[in-house]
Amino acid sequence: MDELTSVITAGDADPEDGLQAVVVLRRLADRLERTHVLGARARGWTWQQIGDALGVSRQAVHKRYGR
Amino acid sequence: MFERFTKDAHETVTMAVEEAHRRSDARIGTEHLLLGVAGSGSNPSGLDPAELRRELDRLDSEALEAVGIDPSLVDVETSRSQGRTGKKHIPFTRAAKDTLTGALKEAIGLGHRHIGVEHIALALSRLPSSDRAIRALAGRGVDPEDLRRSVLEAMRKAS
Repeated sequence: MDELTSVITAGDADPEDGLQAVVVLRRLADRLERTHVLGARARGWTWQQIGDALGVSRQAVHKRYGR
Repeated sequence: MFERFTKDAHETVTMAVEEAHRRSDARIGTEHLLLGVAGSGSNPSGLDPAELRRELDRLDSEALEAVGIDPSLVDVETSRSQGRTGKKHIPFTRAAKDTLTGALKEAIGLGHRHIGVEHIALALSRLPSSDRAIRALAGRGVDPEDLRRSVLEAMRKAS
């Protein structure tokens, strides 16, 4: 909890670093998403189920990972 | 402007685009142009692309640290592989565009008719210290002025 708070309140970081940290974390999230969307598909999940789980539309997931 | 680019300069820009894809970056920035210069056939910068790539990873770790995230918890190198797929169009950042325009100005200033990889390198050397390309250089212990000097030296030898 303390660690999380420190991340959120680290607003005094140099914007250059702060924004680049967002880029790095987004890249990580993208990678994680890709792995688990493909994993869910392999286990027979529908695009609708995956979209609901991620909180995005079925079309959005399909557009990104469908072929 | 691109029609005045030499083969090497074209190669530099192409490599910058490939580098952005490889790093899963959403924009082509000055750091990718610098990697393009270092990876070009003539490489007037004398920099090692592999070392520059490591330096960019180190800057990523530093950025995480600055916001209080332990970089050892996030594998920076892994995070960027396979993040985005396909060969979709990636736009240039404003600073990268300005660098290419700056390369034209460098060529004009030197009375050269064509824009070469050297002119791109010279334009990069004029970027502010907060720029990612310059920060990557600094991490390698290279001052923008050093880059400028070695490029001008390489040009003198070539002519």
